[in-house]
Amino acid sequence: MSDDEAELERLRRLVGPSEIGYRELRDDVIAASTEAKSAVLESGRLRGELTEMSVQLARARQDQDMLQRRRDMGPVGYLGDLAQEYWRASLRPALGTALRRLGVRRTT
Amino acid sequence: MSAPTFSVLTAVFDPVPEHLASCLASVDAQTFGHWEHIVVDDCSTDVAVGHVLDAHRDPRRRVVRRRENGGIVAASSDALSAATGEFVVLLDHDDVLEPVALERIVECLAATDDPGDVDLVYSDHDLLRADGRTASPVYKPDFSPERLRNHNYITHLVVVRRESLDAVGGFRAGLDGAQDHDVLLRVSERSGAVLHVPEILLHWRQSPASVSASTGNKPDAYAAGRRAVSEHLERVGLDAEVEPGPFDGVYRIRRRVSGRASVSVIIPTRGSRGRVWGRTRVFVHEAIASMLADPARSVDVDVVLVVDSGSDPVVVRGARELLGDALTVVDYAERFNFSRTINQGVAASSGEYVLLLNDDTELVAPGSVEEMVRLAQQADVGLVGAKLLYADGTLQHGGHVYNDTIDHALRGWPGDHPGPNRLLAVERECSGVTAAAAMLRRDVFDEVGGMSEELPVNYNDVDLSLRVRATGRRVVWTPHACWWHFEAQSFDHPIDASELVTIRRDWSQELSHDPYYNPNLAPGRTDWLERPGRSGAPPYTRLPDGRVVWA
Repeated sequence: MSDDEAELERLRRLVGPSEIGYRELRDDVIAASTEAKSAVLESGRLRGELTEMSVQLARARQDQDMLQRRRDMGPVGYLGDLAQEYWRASLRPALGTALRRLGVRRTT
Repeated sequence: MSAPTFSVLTAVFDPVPEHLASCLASVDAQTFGHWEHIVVDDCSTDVAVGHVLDAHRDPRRRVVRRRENGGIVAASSDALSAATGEFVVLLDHDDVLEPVALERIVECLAATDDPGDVDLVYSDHDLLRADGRTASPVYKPDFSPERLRNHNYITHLVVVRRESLDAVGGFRAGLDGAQDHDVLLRVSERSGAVLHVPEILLHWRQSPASVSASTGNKPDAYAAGRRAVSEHLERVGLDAEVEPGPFDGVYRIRRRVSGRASVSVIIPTRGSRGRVWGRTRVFVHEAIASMLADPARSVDVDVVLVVDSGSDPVVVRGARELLGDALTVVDYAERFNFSRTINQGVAASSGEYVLLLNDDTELVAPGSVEEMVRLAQQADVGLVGAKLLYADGTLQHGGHVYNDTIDHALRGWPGDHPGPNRLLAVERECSGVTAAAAMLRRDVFDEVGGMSEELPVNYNDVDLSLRVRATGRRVVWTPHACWWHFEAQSFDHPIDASELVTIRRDWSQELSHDPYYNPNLAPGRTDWLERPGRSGAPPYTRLPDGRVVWA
């Protein structure tokens, strides 16, 4: 209670003897906070869009890189690339399955 | 295991003839030969359809011609009646199978320990555009039952054990347009396994009238989908209403709390103050006040504050003013160990459910605590996570992803973004969730032994999530429970290397393979960026004259 009274006195010293002045000050603080929140949210909206766009950009860049690489490597290189892909997507998983069945690798 | 046999079922009604021809040719081109194709012409009015069917005669293809148009369900049921294969493959009349589609399904079945237990197999798919290019690949998680209730994330390619489909009653009348979602829900209710092939095995035609082109094309299908989900919830004993969600094809499931649930909110705090939106606050007071002010609150809530010794006494005094008898205070005098503070808080609590909550939070969505209780009341759900937003409204937590890294899904994306394939707009299974706002039943918390005190600062929630999953229970994240989390976006937690060593020692496999992510997505990232070459970019083709074209 004594803390509250001391706080009241402190605020009165700040805004003068008028209670109306204190309420107005409080309303101003609330309004300023609301504005600050809007500004922070707006910057967040832009930051969010930027984050999403950076993923799109990364996607476009790696697509461009892949297409250029494949164009430059010619048919033989491309076939090698496909073979590597076949190894990754088909042979290696099949090998993993076989090893798992033989108990060589730990199952999940 | 002997090779399985497949019956590809296709209901045909007035497709673009060339599209039907592509569809039939893609079946003919299968590298695995044990298939039959049952094509049911649902009284097409275009004579060209008959010509295409005649032109694609094959001893393995049977064409059934209906006398009157009956719709997709009637035609699919006719196809099912004529099927003799061990598995049925659902194929729309304008979609295109990859040549290796059936071969991959066979490989997937062969790789399981008990192929006879498999009820359903599905794959990834992409869209087949009007110009013939494939685009927009949809890389899906492994089976995610909570998500399937919220929307049909599977769609294509679907392969169902014939016996299982018969056992659940086949395609149900009156659910035209959502008959596939209904089948997926009913078959998944059985005890058999549901497998996922993380490879694009079907190209979904983006014809102008198709849902793949615009979700607004079939409003009746979504009404039927609501009915399918509603009846599914009834069958599995969940007391809930199904409403249209924020997007076409997404359903909002409003569960009812069973009984009078009591929730103990465990908040470790040092009584920190900080400036948010231009004002200084004592974080924990705002966290408590926002929950008490929730107009939708209908469960009994008490709070256990685990207070660091030496904290400002005003912290406990303020909390006491807010909560009265609903506050329990635990003095914590030891060296900081987040896991130990949580364990001590839970030990001092009495609620049937415990909500682990950081003190620097503030409730956003009314009814969030109830939302989490409703999910946690499902016996096979062990841990429930919430959506967390940074102070600037961007996403902090949309579930964890363990993909050769440990991070939050789509962190920093707009807070209201639905995410790739709507994943941020639906309740869904995750590998883990943050303990900044997570709920679990007390019996689950006790069963897994609480939080690991070997991980005092970081990864204790990862460990908790993985231990919950190791009991066979699911970890579910919901967008319908939402808090602000005033964690600094740029703040990097000091990570003790020993914690990283510990978590990797205990969960190395789980941290390198997230079943709710997809191997086609780039490792080390959690933003659904595809690996190079898998984003739908056009394939390379070299013409006979040497020119290079992108198809």
